[in-house]
Parts: sequence; C-alpha cells; structure tokens
Amino acid sequence: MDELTAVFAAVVVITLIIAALFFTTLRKAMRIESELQLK
Amino acid sequence: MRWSTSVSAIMLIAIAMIIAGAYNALIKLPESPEPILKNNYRIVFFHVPSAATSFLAFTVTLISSILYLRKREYRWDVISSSSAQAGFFFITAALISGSIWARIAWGSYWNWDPRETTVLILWFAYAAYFALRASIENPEEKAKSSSILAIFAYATIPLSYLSTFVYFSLHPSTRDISIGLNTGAVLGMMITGFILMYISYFILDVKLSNFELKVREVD
Repeated sequence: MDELTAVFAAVVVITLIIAALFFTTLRKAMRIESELQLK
Repeated sequence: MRWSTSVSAIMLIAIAMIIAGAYNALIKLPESPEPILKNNYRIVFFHVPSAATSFLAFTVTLISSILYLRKREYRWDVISSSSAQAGFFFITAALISGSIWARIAWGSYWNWDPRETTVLILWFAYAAYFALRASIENPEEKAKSSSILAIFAYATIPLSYLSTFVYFSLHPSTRDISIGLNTGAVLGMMITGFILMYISYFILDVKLSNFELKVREVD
C-alpha cells in the first residue's frame, strides 16, 4: 500500500468514526424524545 | 419528514461527499509539478474546508448570540453554543492541518506567521467562551455572559481572514491562488461535505440540548 492510499484509508476510518459517534448520539436523542412523549 | 430522518440523510450525504472528495483529492488528482509541493499540496483539500466550515459555524454563533441578547429566548443560547462547539472542532482541525503544511512548506510546525498567530488568538477566544460557560451555574447569567463574549470573539474571524493580506505573511491569500477546474471541483465537493457534516451535527446537538432541557423541566 503506498503512502497516499494509506492516508485515504485513514480519512475513511476517521469519517466513519465521526459518523458512528453521530448515529450513537442520534439514537440517544431519539430515546429521550420518545421518553418525553410517554410522559 | 421526521427531523431524525432529515439529519441522518444529511449526514449520509456528507459522508459520501467527503469519502468521494478524499478519493479524488488523494488518489485521482495528479501530483503538483512544483518540487516542494508534489503530493503535499493535497492537504489543502482538508485544511480549507475545515477553516471555511469553522468560519460559518462561528458566524451562526455570532448571529444567535445577538438574537439571544435581543430576545432573551433560551433557544438562541442553545443554538449559539452548539454551533460554537462544531466551529471549535473544525478550527482545531484547520490548525493541525495548517501546522503539518507549515512543516512541509516553511520548514517548521509553527512560524508565528500573521495567519497562524491570528488563528491561535481565535482558538483561545473560543476556548475562553467554553471556559466561561463551564464556570457559570446560573443559566440566564451563563447565556448572557457567553453571548457577549461570543460577539467580541467573532472579531478574530475577519482579523484572521485579513491577516494573509499583510505583506510579510507566508500564508497565501485568496487573491494569490488560482486553481484548475478539476482541483476546484474537488475542493468544492470537500467544502460542501464538511458544511453538511456541520449542519447535521448542529441540528442534532440543538435537538438533544432541547430534549435534555425538557427532561429537567418535567423532572
């Protein structure tokens, strides 16, 4: 694997980590929203 | 359409644009004919979108801070702090990528160049914003004081933008740069991807803060 491909792979991994954190937080927000609707 | 579906769609488009943009920036585009730049110029595709997105986020913070001080509605403070958080993340990314570029192009990670110095002042101004928010317990006082600070902190944005026009700045100014169509298209794709990522995070954070506020009110 050349240097640029390795950098591209790192960019993909970092982007996916940010996306995973985003969707985890989104799930938390949706859970709180549904709890509020039940109250 | 539910808000959660909208922000998910915006985030997915942002991810697709950033990955496609990074593929073009790192793999597809040819290396620079300049001997020093070669492949190193590719950092611009991450540095410029980070800086541009942070400027947009801090502008949203400025506007919502002014609106809070005028209307005293708590939602403007939530918008202000959420946007400032995103802006701080992106300006930190711009500072780091800029330092890597400085090492390659100018020989040192830090050169006290006018752009580097003014962006560092900007970084500290918004770090002070978060420190201030963390130090005040009363929500009304917190919102009022941090809104005032956010307005003053914003002065560092035009300061850092204009710093490249100083004659001894190493950093290229926008009038010095001319880029080809392909390079411009990839840069545009990356800037759009970063801005969409900011928008999706920003909407989610505002919603989450509002839900947490409502939970406290109900309890």
